[in-house]
Amino acid sequence: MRARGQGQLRLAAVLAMACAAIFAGMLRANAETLVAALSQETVFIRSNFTGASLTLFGSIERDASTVARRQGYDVVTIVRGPDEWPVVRRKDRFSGIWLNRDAMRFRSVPTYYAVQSNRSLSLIADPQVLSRYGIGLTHIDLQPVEETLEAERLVFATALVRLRLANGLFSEAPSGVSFLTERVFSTRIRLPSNIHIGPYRVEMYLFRDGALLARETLHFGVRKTGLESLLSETSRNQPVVYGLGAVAIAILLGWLAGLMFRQS
Amino acid sequence: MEVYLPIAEVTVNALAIFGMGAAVGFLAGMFGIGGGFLITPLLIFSGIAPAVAVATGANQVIASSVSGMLAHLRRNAVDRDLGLVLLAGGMIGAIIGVYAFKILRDLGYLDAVISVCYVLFLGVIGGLMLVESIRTIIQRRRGRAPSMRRPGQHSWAERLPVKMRFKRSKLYISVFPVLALGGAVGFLSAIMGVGGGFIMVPAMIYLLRVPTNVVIGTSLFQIVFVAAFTTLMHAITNGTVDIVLALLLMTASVLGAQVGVQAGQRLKADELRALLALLVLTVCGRLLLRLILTPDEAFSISALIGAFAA
Repeated sequence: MRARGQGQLRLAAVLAMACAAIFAGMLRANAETLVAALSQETVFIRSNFTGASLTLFGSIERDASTVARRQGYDVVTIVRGPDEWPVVRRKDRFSGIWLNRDAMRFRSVPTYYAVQSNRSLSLIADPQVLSRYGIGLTHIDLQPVEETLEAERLVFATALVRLRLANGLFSEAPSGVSFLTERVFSTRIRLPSNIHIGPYRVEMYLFRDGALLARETLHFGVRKTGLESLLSETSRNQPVVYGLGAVAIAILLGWLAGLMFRQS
Repeated sequence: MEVYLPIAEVTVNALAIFGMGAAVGFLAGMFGIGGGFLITPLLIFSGIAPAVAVATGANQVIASSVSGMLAHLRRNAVDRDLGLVLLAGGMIGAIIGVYAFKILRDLGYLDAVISVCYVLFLGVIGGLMLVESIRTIIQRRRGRAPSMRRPGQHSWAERLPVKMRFKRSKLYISVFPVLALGGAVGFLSAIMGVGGGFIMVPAMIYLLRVPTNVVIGTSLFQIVFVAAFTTLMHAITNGTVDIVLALLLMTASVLGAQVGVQAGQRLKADELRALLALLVLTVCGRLLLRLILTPDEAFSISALIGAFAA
């Protein structure tokens, strides 16, 4: 009797767990999830660094209860570099020469921002939705440190984006995400040689019919390595040692050149 | 061959930088100059941040002046007392210059100030040198011996107090003009990334009346130490000395200088000066255009360059 009672108890527990799982599944009914991986977790900057390229592979996972969708999915990926507080300056003619006059400092702007999608962002979702998640170059949150007129803010914010686009640190690629199958996608993350070191974040958004279904975040880092790392660390942490080293190398080279010159 | 510059945080073509260093070294060897006033603008033109270009230029000046200084020391053509007083002034000037550099950089005026300084100094010196050398060439062609203007016997420098005797130069003058000259050159060294020989040499001859046989050696003596001090100060205050860039430039310019010295020996002194004047005026004109022409892009973002930029 006792053994049988224990068996019933175990059965009840298993049933309860199964119910909970099914219930949870129902809550997440028609919920897709994103599973993704990067080809590299760290990008190393060496002396021959001319930029880097990472590949992101992702898959849209559906459980059995997911409602079959007739239309395709849209995927947007955003790569953000470490934040900085940049100062944007505007030159003006001042007694004949061009000088920086007005300036605006922005708070927490990513040093790198690349948005890629499988088709034009405007077709994927409404501007309000895109703006809410900061998707797209026009929706990066650019707030000045000091209060200014909106018209003025817009002029400097537009200039910031334009300059960053020009040096390759900001980019927008409406066909950067490609679908390999209906539910598997990939995208290439291109990092130019002038990128900043630090933590990078890859955000992925899954849309369908303009609605956000799922999002996922991955991380990678950009680091200097070897001599490059040693030099910039020393310059930052032991500037006296670094400066004395620079002077010593110069004196040594000049002295050696003098010796060679005297002999020839 | 691309190489990543760890402080400038850009990738440059090593051969292009090497070629630039060699060309400047060639000219430096030919004309007997340090070449700092050519290196720094060339680096700026090729897309290196001005803050890094200036600090690294100062570093390069050390290498290009050390061998000359040692040669003059061996020939006893250096007035060490005078050099030390100039150096004392130079260090004060460099300290002020490096801090001014930092303040101007924070305000966003650094690039313009560097350009204006270059245009003014290169314009005045190049212009004077061109006029003088052409006059000498014309006189030589007419078969007349060039008139050596002898500096007058009395100068305002002699009337100032705290006089000091400089035995090697046979001078007994106040330390104030010497300190002031050293200070001015130290300040320019910090702001412009130059050795300052182009100001030091004429000022020593015409203002301080230093005998010409010790002028070059003493000027080089002061330049080496002030450039070393400036490099150190920039490394400490601004973190903008790029050793990789400096190493490329120094190696190239030191080699180029050897070829340049030999080339220079085939030209006459006044012709050499006229060519140098034209070169100086060309660099000046290029910088002037950058200042006065309407830029394609009026906006700029203050770059996160150097260890202490943020």
